[in-house]
Amino acid sequence: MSSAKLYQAPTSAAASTAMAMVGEDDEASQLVVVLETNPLVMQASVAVTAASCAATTTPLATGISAASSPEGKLPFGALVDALLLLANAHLLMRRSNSVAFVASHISESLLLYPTPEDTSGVKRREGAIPMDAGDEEPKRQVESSSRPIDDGMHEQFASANLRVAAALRELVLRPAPWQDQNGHEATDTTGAANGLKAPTKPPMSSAMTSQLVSSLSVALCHINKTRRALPPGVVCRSRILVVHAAEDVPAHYVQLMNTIFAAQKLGVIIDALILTPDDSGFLQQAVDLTKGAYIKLQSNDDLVQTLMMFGLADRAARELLILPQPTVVDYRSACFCHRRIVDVGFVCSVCLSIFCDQRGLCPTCGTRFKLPMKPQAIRKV
Amino acid sequence: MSQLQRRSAQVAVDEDDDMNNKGYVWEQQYERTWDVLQEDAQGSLRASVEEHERAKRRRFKTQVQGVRRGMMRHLTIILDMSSRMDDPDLKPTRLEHSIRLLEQFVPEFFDQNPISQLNFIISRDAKAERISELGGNPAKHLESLRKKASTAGEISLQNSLELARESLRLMPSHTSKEVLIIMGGLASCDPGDIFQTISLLELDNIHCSVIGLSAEVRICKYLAEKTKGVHNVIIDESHFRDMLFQHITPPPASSRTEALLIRMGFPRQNLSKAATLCACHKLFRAGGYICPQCKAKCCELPTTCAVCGLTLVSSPHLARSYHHLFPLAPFREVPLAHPPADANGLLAGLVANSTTLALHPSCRGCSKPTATMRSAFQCPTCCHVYCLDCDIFIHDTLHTCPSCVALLDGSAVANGGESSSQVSSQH
Repeated sequence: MSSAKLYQAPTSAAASTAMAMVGEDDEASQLVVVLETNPLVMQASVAVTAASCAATTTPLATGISAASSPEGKLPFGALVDALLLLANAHLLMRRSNSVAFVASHISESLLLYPTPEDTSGVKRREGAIPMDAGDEEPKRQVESSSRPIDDGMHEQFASANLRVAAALRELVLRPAPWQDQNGHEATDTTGAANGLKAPTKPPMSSAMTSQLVSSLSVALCHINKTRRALPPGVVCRSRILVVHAAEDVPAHYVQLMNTIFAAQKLGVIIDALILTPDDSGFLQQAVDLTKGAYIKLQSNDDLVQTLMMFGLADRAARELLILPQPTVVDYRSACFCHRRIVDVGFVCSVCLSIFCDQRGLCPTCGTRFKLPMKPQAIRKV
Repeated sequence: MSQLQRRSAQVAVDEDDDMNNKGYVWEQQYERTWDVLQEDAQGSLRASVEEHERAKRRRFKTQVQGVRRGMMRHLTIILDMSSRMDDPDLKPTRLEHSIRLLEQFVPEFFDQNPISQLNFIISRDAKAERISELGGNPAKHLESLRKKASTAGEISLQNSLELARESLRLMPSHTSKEVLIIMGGLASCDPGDIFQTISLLELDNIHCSVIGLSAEVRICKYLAEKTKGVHNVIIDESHFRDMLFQHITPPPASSRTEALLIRMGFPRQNLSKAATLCACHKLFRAGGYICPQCKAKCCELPTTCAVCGLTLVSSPHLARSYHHLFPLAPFREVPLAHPPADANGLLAGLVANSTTLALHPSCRGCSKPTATMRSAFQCPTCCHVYCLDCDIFIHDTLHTCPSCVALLDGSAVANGGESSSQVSSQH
């Protein structure tokens, strides 16, 4: 796509509001990137190989050209590099801008950056960084908070890049939550004596499902936290960029809707970058309800440009851009009994379950219905 | 199901006991509110303020799981516009303050109860007037309320109740029929026997709640008791707000509310760019939604089709109500036996509760280290720990525990299947 096509002649009113917004100091913009890191669910579209993970250890050094792996899949390292580039560009836009990274990992979701160590300025423990990529790298990471890096890069950018890369590497080597973790079994009993329990281990089956909903809620918790910490009078406009490379999980529907409504309430925009060939119904709804942008990656070579065009634009700038035509989201519902899409359905007045035919008993809540004896005349209200 | 109702009744009784034990305010000792606030070593009031937040948490703690709720509500708000509403004890006047609160209440009500309807009745000069018809458009209600805002004479409780009953009694029996009275005066000017009206309301299964702005009035308390509503008298502005906003959560359904399958349409969006006539406003507009039954066009959802009378909704409207049906269990407070962090943010008490720290190194939501928390809260299902801020956010806004999602069986296909497992576990 050509960049010239993306701009429309701004109307004078829209341009002046955009200028006024740029001039204001009491406004911060926050970008939260939700990244799928579970290799089990995203193998179809993103190549997660040892080599591509290793690429993340040298942030921004290689991989920006997004050279495709043999099967035409996007290498994970190239994806991370492109996202870091976006994060840097976002930080560059305004002094008060901030970024955060959330990973949907195997059976859990984690806030990768910023960690509390980053915000409080306490140095990261040296032991936390695996020493697999040579001795040079970890040393640089540890020292990055205390002295500028000598390759001429801005300190804030370099520290964000290194932290995210290190956290991702840590994540790859970390055992899944349902695996035995050393030490936890032993402390379990002592904890119970205090009235405190160890976290319940998620079932093995959850490893194969995307933790998108969990990550979105973690992202919203983080956004809520950042807003509370802001000095009064400062407005924080947040948006979440979801890099989606997995399938939807129908069992998470209710939780997803709760998350979307929470985002709506906070005024958070959800953008989606889809790497899979299929559309994601979940994210289409999320994007439509929060007025974000739903972008499907056309080719791997477009990755950086696409991210820069849509991921970087804030709410004011979007008014000046021609975004891709919003997809028409099908809000018709599937009945709970046969999973058929219904035009006219029957809704249980107690639990709001949807059925495609009349029945005497609600299988969801067990309520017995009073069946009408004869067709009811339409009452004029 | 009867067990559930008994449980909800039990809760109501418990709350009642609580109220009775406290007695009247003027019979109690001085409440030294300033004693609660205490400075810590650095002269900061933060700890005390957090205490206040914890008190706020108690509000959602009382939400019981597995109670049948009337999700489809018809609410009539009766606003007193007698001359007593000119009193300036609520700033600037009682009337103005009430209207400002209602301006927040009405949009929030429709946000949380998308398939419900509401209307307003005002009462002054011993007359009652219905100023808006039952409907789902918040802007319309508030506009008509603003237009009519002036005070005169006395309130007529009976006239307003009769007027409310007139429209509510015709509503289908599976809906929850409610009246909310905001009453500033202490007297009502009634044309007949109000007790008769009250027994009729009771018969029609209309729940009446009263918020008194001045003092407890016997007839109001009797009305609320008889019709299974709530009667509150406000203490101050913030208490008024709390008392009003408690009516946003759908009330537990009474045993006489029938369960029914309701026929609803899920319309498709009208894609054509050309302006076409809509059935609701009779105006030419682009966009809109097409009724699946009669193919008439309406402008917004949820609504009732103007032509065939079918209820039209979209699936997010139904989904918005799910958190009332399956509320998140309240989190338990867990012991944190360490002294608060000193000025540098370094921890003296890091060793004190090493078990907590080992099991739960940080808040699951915002990654705040457990060691720096003053209080921690544990989800009873997934046993992860959250900080106070995240706990409040999760229960007030998010309604989803981030780590419980991972515990759900991802292979279950239906959203209904998931909710059914929740309901059956509560039975």
